[in-house]
Amino acid sequence: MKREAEKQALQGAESMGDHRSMQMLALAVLLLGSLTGAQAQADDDVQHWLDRMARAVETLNYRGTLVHVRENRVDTLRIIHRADDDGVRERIYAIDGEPREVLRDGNKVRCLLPGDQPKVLESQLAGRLLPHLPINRLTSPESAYHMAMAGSERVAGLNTRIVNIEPRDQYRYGYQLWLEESTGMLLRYALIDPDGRQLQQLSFTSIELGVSISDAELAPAMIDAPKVLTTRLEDTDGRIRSGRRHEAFRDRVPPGFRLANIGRGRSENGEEFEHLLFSDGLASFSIYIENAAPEAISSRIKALGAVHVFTDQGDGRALTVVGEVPAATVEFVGQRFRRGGEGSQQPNE
Amino acid sequence: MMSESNREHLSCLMDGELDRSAQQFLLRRMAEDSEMTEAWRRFHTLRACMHGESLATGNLAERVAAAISDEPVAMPGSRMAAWFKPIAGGAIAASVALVAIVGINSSMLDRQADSSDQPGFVSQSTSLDEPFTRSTVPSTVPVSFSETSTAERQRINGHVLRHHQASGGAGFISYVPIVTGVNSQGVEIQFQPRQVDDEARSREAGAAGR
Repeated sequence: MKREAEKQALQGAESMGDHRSMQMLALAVLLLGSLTGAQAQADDDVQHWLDRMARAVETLNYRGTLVHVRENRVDTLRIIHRADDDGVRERIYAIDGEPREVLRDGNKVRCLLPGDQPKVLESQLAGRLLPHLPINRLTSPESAYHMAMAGSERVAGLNTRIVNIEPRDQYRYGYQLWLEESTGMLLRYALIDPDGRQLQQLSFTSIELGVSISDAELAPAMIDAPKVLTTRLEDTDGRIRSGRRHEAFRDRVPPGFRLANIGRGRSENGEEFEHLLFSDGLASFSIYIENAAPEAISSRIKALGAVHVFTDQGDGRALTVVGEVPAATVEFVGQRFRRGGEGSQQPNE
Repeated sequence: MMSESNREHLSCLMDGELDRSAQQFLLRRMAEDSEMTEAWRRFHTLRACMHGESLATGNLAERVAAAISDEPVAMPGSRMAAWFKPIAGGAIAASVALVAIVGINSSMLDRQADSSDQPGFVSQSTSLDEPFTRSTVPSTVPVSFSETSTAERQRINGHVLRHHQASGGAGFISYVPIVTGVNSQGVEIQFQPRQVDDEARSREAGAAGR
């Protein structure tokens, strides 16, 4: 089955057809074609494992059950992922508690929000805004992280290799990844706070790799949800720009984060917003700037699990910083963009 | 002619005796039923009179009607109508109506604002500091409050979703936080605003000098 899955990963990469996939395919062929000795050496190479993981997670077909554990809460999720000629389709849904579901179909993502009146949020982007960084930048000595292989363990009945990723400061989380030996598929994922405590863990309890997935399995349950309102969040004009204005923001973000992209969108209240995406190669946060009522509302930070959200309103604009980063990071950024924000008001100029 | 049961429902709504989903249901119905809206206004007028409050009923009714028919409406010092309009479901229109009635719109956006000059007839305790206290119109305050926080939560949810989509590097890993986090209202974190402006300025000055 594992061989099948590996083969499928390659076929998937080929069928996805984009330039990057072809590059990945070439790289994979190169790796597979290499001598056994070189392969053995690569086994201990973090770069190699991260690369395999990125490819496996997107290009394999799989269905499985995941548990997500954080401080006082356990969520059990089902995931169904298919990658074929039509692109990637994925369905992730909670099997306990209130119905919650995320549905990906290519570049379109729909999300069922629970509550008295369930709603479907829909977001369509021209593609991911975060460019794929060369992994060697992440593993270089200047990287914000220290990475190392850390042994083997069995997860969901499969053998895995463990990758440890430790941050070098308090502005990002650490990660531990358990990657399936033959495919590189991510089977377990732990998020570590800057003090070394485990914040949350996500782990497959069962997974079938390289299976065929029918359309019916990917059909959303949310369609049948009562009182569903569909709202859209979309790019207005796809004006996605490169991060060349990074210098203007350098002192406003923690070291290691760089402006990765600038986009615009329109939220469901009709307000246009500017979206700045920053990344250090692994962690990322977004800054949203939009017009708002002239009244001032003092700064706040909210935690949604490991995701932190900084909000502030003043001088007729609202500032929101969102990211799966420590509270210190969104606070750092929020405080520096909050007043004046000379660099943030006209980032396109 | 409005049925007895509808009248009863409205009365329950005023007395804060309906659960949240029933409130939402009734608000939606009210948005589509001018007779019910009128009855609602009369109930409030009566209630307010019983409590000896002064009223500015004339333009209040107009404002309610305008809000419900989704017409632009001038509400001094508030952008609430504009804020809600594009979402424009019946429930939202109805909540604008409630906002217009109780006049807590600006205080929702600006906790520091002096509410004494705001429109509406609730002359006391419109501050959000006490949103759930039993005032003269107990049910309307929490409903309006919850609509506002829903709109805000939705805005934040939209931003969170877009962030995960934009950064979606490792496939499903980016979407799991949406499934697991969307259910929670979030936990507010206390933090001490730091004096970063001076610090930032000195950094900028340093950067400019380089």
